[in-house]
Amino acid sequence: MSNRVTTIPNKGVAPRKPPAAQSSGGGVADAKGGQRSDFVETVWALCCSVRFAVVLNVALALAAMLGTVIPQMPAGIQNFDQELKVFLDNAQSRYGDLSGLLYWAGFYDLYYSLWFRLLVVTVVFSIVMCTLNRWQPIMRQIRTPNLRFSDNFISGLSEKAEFRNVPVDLSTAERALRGALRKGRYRTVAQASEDGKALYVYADRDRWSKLVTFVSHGALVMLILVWAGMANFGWREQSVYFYPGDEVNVGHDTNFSVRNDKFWIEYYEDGKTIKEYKHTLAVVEDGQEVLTKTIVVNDPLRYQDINFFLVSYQPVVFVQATDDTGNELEARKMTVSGPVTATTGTAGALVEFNQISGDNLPQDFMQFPVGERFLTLAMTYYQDVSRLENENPPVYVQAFVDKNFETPIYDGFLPRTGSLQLPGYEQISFDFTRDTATVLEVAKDPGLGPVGFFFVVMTFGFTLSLYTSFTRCWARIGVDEARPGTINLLVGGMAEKNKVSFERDFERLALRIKENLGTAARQAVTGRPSEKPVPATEAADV
Amino acid sequence: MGFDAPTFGFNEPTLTIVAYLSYLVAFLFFCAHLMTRSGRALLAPRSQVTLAGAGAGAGAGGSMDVSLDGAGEGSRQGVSFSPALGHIATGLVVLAWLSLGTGLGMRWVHAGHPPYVTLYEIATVLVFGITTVYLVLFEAVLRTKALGAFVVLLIFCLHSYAVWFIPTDLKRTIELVPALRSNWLVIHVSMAIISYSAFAAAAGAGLTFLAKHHLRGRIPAALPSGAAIEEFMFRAVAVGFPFVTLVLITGAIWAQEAWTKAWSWDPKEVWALITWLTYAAYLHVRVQRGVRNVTMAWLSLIGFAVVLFTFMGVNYLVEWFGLQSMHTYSIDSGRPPGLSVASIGTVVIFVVLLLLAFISWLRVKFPSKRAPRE
Repeated sequence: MSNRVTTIPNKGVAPRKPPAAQSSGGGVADAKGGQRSDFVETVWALCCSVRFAVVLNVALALAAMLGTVIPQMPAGIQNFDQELKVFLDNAQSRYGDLSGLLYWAGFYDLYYSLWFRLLVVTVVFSIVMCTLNRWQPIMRQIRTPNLRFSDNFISGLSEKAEFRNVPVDLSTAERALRGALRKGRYRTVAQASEDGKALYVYADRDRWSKLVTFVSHGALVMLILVWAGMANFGWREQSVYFYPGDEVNVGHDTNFSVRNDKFWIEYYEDGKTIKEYKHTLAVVEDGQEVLTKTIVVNDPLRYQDINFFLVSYQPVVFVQATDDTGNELEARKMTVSGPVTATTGTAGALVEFNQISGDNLPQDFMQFPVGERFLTLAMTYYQDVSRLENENPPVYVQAFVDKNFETPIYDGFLPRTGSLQLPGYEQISFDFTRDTATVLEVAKDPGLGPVGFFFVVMTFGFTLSLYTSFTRCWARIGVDEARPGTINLLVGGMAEKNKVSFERDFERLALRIKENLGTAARQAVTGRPSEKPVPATEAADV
Repeated sequence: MGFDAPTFGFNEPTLTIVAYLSYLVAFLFFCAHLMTRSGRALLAPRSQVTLAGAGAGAGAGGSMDVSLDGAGEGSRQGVSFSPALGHIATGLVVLAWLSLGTGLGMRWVHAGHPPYVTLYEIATVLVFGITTVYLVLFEAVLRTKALGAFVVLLIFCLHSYAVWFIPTDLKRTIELVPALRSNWLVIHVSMAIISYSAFAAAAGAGLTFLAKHHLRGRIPAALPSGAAIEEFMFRAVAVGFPFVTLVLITGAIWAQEAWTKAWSWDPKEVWALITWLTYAAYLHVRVQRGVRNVTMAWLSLIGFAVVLFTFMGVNYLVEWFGLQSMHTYSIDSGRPPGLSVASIGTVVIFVVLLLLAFISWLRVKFPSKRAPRE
């Protein structure tokens, strides 16, 4: 706390605006030398202004909004000509001729388009400029006590109190005032006027709260930068197909593989509503099983910083043909053909598993030689057809005794029970078993650590800057010329935020000043009993 | 109405009706509270403390005149029914809060998970949340009843949506889908409820400001100054903003766990970001540009419209624009409830009509005179 007292001429005190009223964008133009035209300076000042930042902020919100109105291309669709064509045809029917323009301008991949990224970069730039631009004025404001003010200035403040005809001398009043301010956590600076008849006091509190804005905005900028930078680290394998019992190598310079041990679905008591998709994975390193974990949607497997997420599952049918001696002739895995589509949103599941449509049924065929001829089986797996657990799966089979699907010998569903019997080939038995393949997403990323750190700092900063307030008080203690031996005290204050609580706070401060002054006055009275009491009839007139 | 609710003497539908009616009656009492406030008391300065002759001990006599000055609510002087009416109104809001809270608690116990899943639950929890913010922030911390009429009107409209516009069969409790079976459900959705409730309270303050600004008559005269209302509005936003930031953080962490990616530009994520940006703009406009007028009131209302859309409207994008979102509310049939332009239109019309009726009633009842504004 500073107790510096200097002398300034009383006449020179002029009304002055509080520092808060100074423009935040003012300092830039004068630093740039006289060569620049006014126009450039104006533009530059605009770019650094908070107004421009708010405009950009709104522009970003509107642009983001557009992306929720125009259907966006699924990620990675550009690599699949067929799917891209379907998407663009849909868009064409929706937007007509405009569609081509929208595609060209990146509106179907809005959040990754060049102009959206540029907008984000501009926003970041604007935040940085605004914040840096405010550094000087803020530092000036919190460093330099504002001791040159007039009574009018105090009267113009939202909170003020006046104490008149207090029978104490100037220094006693100063002690009383400063004591009250100190109790309210203010630091105080005082200056006496040249003639010694008045004293100017400046007090402030929570100066650091002006600096919090640099912390929170800095964290926001770091957050965006780190997040953008993180996209270049790690890797991501979407749609990793995983058959039951398979063991796949993870690749990407890792030395372990993962085995599909089991997949099952858990139901609630009603037996219909799915409770949990469960998938047991084993991590195998050098042929040794090192870890087994049952993952669910909300709990992926994490091993050596690599995450294994359960994304989807697919019903599959295994077909095995054996002859009467038990030799395997052929074996197939029937699955849905085509790429696995990623999450779709229905029925409120966050991760939605594939709905297999009629034109995307699991289909497959198998061919193998039997004696002189070829046996060909075309199979379609109709999932919607209900079959009991112990019956054959609902597979529709067309069998031919040539390579070119020309001479049919069987056309129909598998019998519900028992083996498929092909006329003329009774010695061959077919075994159809149902199982489920899973689809994993495997990703290595640096995680949310650094982003989370800046996120927390930012939130903390916002909260602090919303709940703390740079608070200042100004007071003038003057000797009452009309009544020697008494002083008048005018004190006012302002808070930059939370004015309602400051109102109460200031009331407390005023009461404390009153108490201190009262005590001082009593002491003055008892200490110097000869002094004439001042009549109490003239009331203050504020 | 009708629920699969357990009963022990009283049940969830009864509690909901009690809450619903309490809000309605509380709204009327708040209006009466404002109208019966004494004009003289309101025009008097907050506390004109003149303490002549006080302070000096033992009659020896120094004198000191103290005057305190400041903008604020008028002190209540003279006999007035107003405080009693205000207390009854607050009591009714507390009653509504208790019965709604009990109903939600019963639902939580019955379902075995927090009531954060269906649109009906989310709307009801939001009503509960706004009531909580109103009682805690405005009544307890800021000690004002002036915003009661408008905040409760807002609550009443929202509760009407939950009670009347969501079909009965969609009010059942349902089981959690696998993706929602996470502790993050409680954390993430609670943050959202707190922040959106605070923004709703701010919008209630915004309505109050507009009433003060545009209307004439006893009610606007009985309201605190525009600057004070604006301050209340800011305080509510100051509660909401850190929490909406936390919604984004917890959402990112959860998404990283369940959806493999912290941020995937899902419409709901984008709208939460838009909400955040909207209130960031609000705070910068207020703090930086020093705007303290009707603009702030409109911004708080626009912000709340964005909040409502984030909260309930994103479902409609799926239908209107053929979008896909992973954030739709759970129901068995696979379609979000009330998913039609007709139903949301009804709600909008309902709210607008209610407001218009209220405003025009005020105008007819209290024709404009030279009522003081600030």
